[in-house]
Amino acid sequence: MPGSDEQTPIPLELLAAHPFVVGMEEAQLRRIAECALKVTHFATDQVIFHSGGVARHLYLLRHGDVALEVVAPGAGTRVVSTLHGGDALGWSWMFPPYRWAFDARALVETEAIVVDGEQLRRCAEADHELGYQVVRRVAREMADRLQAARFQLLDVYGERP
Amino acid sequence: MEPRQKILVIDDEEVVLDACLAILAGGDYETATATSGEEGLRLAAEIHPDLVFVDVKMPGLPGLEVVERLRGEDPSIVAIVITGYATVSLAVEAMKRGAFDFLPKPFTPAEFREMARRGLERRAEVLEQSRERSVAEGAGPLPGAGAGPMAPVPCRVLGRWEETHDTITLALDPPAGWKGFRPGQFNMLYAFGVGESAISISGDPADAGRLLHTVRRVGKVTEELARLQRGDVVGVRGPYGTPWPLGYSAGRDVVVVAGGIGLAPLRPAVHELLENRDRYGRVLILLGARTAADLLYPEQVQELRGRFDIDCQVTLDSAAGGWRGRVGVVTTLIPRAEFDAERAVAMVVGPEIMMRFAAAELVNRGMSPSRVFVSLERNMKCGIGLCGHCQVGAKFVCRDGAVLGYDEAEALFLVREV
Repeated sequence: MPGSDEQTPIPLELLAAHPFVVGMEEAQLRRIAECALKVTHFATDQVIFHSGGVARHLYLLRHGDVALEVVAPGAGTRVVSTLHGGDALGWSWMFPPYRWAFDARALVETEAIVVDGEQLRRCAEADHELGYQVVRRVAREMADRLQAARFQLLDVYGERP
Repeated sequence: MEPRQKILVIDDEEVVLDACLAILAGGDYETATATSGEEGLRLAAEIHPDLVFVDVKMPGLPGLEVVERLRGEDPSIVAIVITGYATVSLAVEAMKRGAFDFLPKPFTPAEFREMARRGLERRAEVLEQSRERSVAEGAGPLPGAGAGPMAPVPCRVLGRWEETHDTITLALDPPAGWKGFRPGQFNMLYAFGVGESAISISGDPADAGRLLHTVRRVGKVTEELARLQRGDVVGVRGPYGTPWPLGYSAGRDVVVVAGGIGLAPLRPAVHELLENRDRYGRVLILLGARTAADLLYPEQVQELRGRFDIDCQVTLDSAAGGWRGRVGVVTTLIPRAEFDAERAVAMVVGPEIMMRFAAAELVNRGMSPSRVFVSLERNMKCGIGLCGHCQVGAKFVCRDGAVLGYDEAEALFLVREV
């Protein structure tokens, strides 16, 4: 996994401040903190993951901007969307075949809490209440991004305003 | 006896200044010269010239910056730029900054005299219009040249420039009797022999000397309007419609959300917000565009993003790999924007779908729909609530809008056939 790492344990307060986990009970937070590996820093233009790579981690972005990109032969790189401090990056660790669908690249210096997706998945399967809370939040992210993607597809600015 | 008109020439080359003075000698006007932009601005503040010739390339303050500052101080000043590096893009840039015309070097004495004559004539016109405005009781529609409310008044095109691949801006000489406009209002522009279209006014309300309209080519009339060139004539009726609630917004946070060409009808409101910045709480300007090339007024947006007293964010629907800003629809900027939702006022313009999604996000943030204002421009034909083309129930979009609170507009959005 790329990024410069701080291998110290993740303080609970640091994790609790991220919008992704706001509203969770303390016991659930502790379980997620156990799955959290470290705080990582990505340099400007550093690739966080590549499309097709094994999706092992959930990145809770604390600061910075990340572009989700797709490279089409002959058409160059297209930015699909950008994520920012407070967003959760990556849900492919949740579903088979556990492969990233896009490239993720830091647009500026970016800091993220890295959570072990495989371990979180196992915790969620063992504790369905925790699992519900995690899936609910991922589903919220998905719903927001699906709505935004549908809106993008409409290409509204192509029509008369 | 009328005071003599004053001409100021700003150029770092003394030989050019001497030549200009020699050409102007004997004319019925006063002349003054300055060898730098800074000196020119100082002198202008002292002598209040009617016409200023400004060299583009000077050490220190660049000529176009001088033009902008001069017109910022007095929008009725007529500025003409002179340069030895004449290009189309420079001419367009000069026009955008408020220059009246452009004189390439080298010029003959006759060319310089003719330019001075036209500049002073223009200044006299602007002052006359300003006098008419000051005797008028307030902003209101033109009298229709005494031929009824549907008669357009002919206006000359002072300048025209491309904004994006499908959008242009026209700078019009305000018609006789023009009393100004309020941000959010629109004019009916008549392309003679083709038809009329409702086009919002996109310039600074304080700029008395010209009337800006940004036009997107989307049909026969707008295609024809976009083909107009400097010197052509267009028919104008207006201004019509309800303005943005800037008085009501005083003391509150203001959230401006613009998608695509929606920035055009909001730009006069942005001018007002910035010119009276102290009157308002936080000012957020959230802009969405299809691609970087479709972003309207990019230089102005760049300036907005550089200001410390407002928060201006831009997002694109689609971007190539080199773009370092945000990608995503404009509504994604709303959930994390910092404003006091309990009291803030929002002004939203863009395609209807965008306005619906944006209004829904603002209401999700806790804003009352009555404080979310949108601009509807559906089906307007006459502009004055006569023809009924834009009527929905008891409302005429042209007369009761185009700016409406979302509490009223929501029902109109759901009416599909209007």
